[in-house]
Amino acid sequence: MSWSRDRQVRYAHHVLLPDIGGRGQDRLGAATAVVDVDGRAGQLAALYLAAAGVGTLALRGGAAAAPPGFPFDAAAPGVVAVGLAAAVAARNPEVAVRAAAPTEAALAIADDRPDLPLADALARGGEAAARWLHACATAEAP
Amino acid sequence: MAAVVVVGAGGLGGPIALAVAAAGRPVVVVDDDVVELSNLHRQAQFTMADLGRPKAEVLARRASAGARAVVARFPDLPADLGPVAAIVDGSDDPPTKFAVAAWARARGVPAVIAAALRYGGNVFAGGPGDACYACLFEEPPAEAPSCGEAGVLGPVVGWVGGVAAAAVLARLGDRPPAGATIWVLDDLRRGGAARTLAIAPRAGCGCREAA
Repeated sequence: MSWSRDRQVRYAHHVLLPDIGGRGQDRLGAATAVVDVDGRAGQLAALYLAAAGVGTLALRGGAAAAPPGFPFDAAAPGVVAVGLAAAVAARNPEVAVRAAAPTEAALAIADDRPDLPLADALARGGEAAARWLHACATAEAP
Repeated sequence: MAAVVVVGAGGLGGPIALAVAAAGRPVVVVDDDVVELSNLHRQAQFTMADLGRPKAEVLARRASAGARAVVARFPDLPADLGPVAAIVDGSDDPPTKFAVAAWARARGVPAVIAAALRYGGNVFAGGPGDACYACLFEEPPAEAPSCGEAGVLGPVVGWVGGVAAAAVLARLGDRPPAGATIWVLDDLRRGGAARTLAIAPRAGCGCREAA
């Protein structure tokens, strides 16, 4: 993957990390994260994964209500996260967003709900996203 | 209702201010920085359209209608601050963390002090009369790497910020926890869970002499 000046600046704090570096960031950019966004922790995990530079987000569920402060237009219930896709594009235009296929296993966040308090959703969504990113960046190439 | 002062509007201050505001508390966001491209890998509260704008103003507007922005560096707070219920530090600067702890002690309000670096972080929480931040860490380290120097995995700040927001809301709830605690995430690469430890007051700490 070519590294534009903008890309170098955007991911400067990742490239410094042991286990990530330029190669790890390229692996993230080539990877797809599957996230169930019916619950608020999943919505926040998706936003943090997008910010961190995952290449593709495959979303499952309809994000009917945006988490406060992370504004995106409410998608119609049942429609896959239309508003969330716009929120991702506003943060990181390099990230592709698509609907998850039924066979794709999603990032596991236990007991996620649409009405989870934002503090809990941040803690749980952030943890799930962080663990996923580290595993992805350090996975052995197939 | 008395406000929660949030020092720092970046990776930690962002989720902290938004979650505290979402729980119905007025927030005052203190930060003198502007949004930069190198922030966006972790500061998910900001978009590309926010680049170059003052972080405190963007975050306060996004947090709630009643939120206030102070574009300044702590402890440079306005005279008309009004009643304060608690203060939370999400800065990337150890001396500021100690200054926030001292400010909370002088005011008799709870303090929550959050830090994140590389793959981990910690969140100190204590009320008036509890062990203080300096009981635990004594004084700022002579040298401490910043996120800009050592890096931080983006979503770690959402995780640590969420824990910090929950901690301050618990301190302001009907049944506040007794005693000071620190939530510790050493390094997520080790695979273990975060721990919460109780902190006892330290004999000889400035907060004990003043009591």
